[in-house]
Amino acid sequence: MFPYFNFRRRIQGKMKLIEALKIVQKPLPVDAEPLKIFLACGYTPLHLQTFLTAHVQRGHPKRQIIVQTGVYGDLLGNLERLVKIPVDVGVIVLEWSDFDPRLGIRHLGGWEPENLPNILSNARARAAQLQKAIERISDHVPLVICLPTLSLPPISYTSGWQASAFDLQLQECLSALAARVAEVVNIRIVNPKRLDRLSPLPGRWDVKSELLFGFPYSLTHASAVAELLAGLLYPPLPKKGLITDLDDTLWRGILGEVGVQGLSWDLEHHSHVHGLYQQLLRALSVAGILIAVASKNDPALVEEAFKREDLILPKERLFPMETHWGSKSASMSRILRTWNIGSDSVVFVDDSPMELAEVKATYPEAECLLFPKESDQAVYELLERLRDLFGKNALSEEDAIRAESIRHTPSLQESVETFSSSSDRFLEQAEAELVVSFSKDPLDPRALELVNKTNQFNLNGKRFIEGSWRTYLKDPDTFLFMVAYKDKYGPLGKIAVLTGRHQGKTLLVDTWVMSCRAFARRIEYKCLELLFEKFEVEEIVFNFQNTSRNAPLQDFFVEFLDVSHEPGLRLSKDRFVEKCPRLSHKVKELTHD
Amino acid sequence: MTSVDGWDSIATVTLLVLIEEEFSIEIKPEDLEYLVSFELILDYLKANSPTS
Repeated sequence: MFPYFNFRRRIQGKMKLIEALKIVQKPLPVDAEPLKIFLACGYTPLHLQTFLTAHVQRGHPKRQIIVQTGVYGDLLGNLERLVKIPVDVGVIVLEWSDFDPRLGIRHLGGWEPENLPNILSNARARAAQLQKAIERISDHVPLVICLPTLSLPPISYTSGWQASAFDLQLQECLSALAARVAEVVNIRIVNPKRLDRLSPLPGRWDVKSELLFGFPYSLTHASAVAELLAGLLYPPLPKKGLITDLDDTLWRGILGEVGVQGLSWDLEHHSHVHGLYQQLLRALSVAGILIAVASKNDPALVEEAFKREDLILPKERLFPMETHWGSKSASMSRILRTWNIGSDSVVFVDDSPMELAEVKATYPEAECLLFPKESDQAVYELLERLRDLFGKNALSEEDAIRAESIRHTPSLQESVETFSSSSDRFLEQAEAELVVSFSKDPLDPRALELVNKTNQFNLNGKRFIEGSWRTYLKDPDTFLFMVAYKDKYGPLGKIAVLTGRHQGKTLLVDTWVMSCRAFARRIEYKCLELLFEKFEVEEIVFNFQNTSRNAPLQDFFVEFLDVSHEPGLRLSKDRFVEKCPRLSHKVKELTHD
Repeated sequence: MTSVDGWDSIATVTLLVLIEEEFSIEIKPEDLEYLVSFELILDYLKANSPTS
């Protein structure tokens, strides 16, 4: 099998308890920053606590992972404790016995048919209590929730192969609870379907362990649950762009051989999986993922092919289009330059192992995936893999305008060249407008998204988990400055974030990121000017750290402001005023009174 | 096990489950209370491991 064609999920393989203990007990540097998690469940957390610590530790080897737990058998009480204890994130793992003890096996409260209505009624009441508690906690701390993973005991009077009304009503009660809390911004729920793949139902329940120790899970199940929880606590950054081949990938057929009308992506021609692939790429594009084409083809023929009106993914969704006979790695270089993102943020899909290898040799950090044209099943698995790679917790306004703003970049570049004798003149005619906000409440989720995904214009590369971000901003001495931008070439949305603290005549900047789409518009200067004005300070001290990716920010400090980029670098107001070029942005400040 | 500082019931359970996992055996609930020292556990393993 081709080495890059790997459809295994982001799953490391089942961790054994001895491995988990070795990870947990590995010594850490004395100054390791703690990462506090509260695990709330109704049973003894025992090995789940160990596996959760180990899985999170594996993803954050330099942090000190502290998983605190509550009291056995008191889920609601543990939820109360979760509010009171300062933690970065809360994890809630539910089981059926939390809804009524008779739905577990450690209590002998009776499984007679006449008890079923009362059990159902209790479960509904408990679900309402849990919903209320969960929603309240989520105001304070981000939550990850795992719904009951064990099957119901043989409580209903029907045989095991028949779904009883009682079972289904319990499921309905649980589904309603889950659907309601899943809509809350600060809550993520483990996908039970993914758990089904990792941990088949018959191997989950360890009856002996539950009866002896109060811990109901087999070790393999505990590891699987912990791994999914850890993945949701600290998900990987989603990829930003997808570069696709055309022939035998976006459509079935070699354009140069079968002609435009010979191409297909439908059931009739047994090429429906190509239609599904187009459908997914269209959905990704609408969700803000950049989609480009790299195809060895005759550009005129490709132009003709994209005139077909039955294409599910129209040409307007693809930018840029690299169609020629040159190498795909060269195409990828140009696409990355146009998108202004790194190769580690893109996925390249092609039906040719040779092309994948050629690109991988130049861009080893790119995710190169084979389009397995010979197997419908494998193509379907590819679609699932792509969804995993590009999955987001929520969509933002910026997702809708990202592709459009990049598409307009060439016209902006042309304008820059037209006005090359005077950048001032260009920027004046661009009709630039900033909308700025200093509000921390309500907290805009876009701020953290930008901080965690921006590499190039990033003060120190520091990433935050949601809980730490909220804790940091809860400090009344901190400020949050967000900037949205638009000009006559189109809106860019919210593109810059600064955070820091105000101390007398000094402003300490802890975080500063700006989207690469916003370069060359002097927004960075305007941000500093606005900060000097707003806080009336004489100097700004930057918590700068050199990273392998933040050269644009290093250049900004050295070339334009003539200050060395070292940790704790200082910029006086006088120096800034002296060096700052002419700024012509209009500014509007949003207030949230 | 009472001679080991910080040893508690959770440590006991963890050790016994670890032994079950590593040696692919199932310790009977009624045997658990007797496995209170390294020597007793070793004897139990010699008597009950699949290769014994």
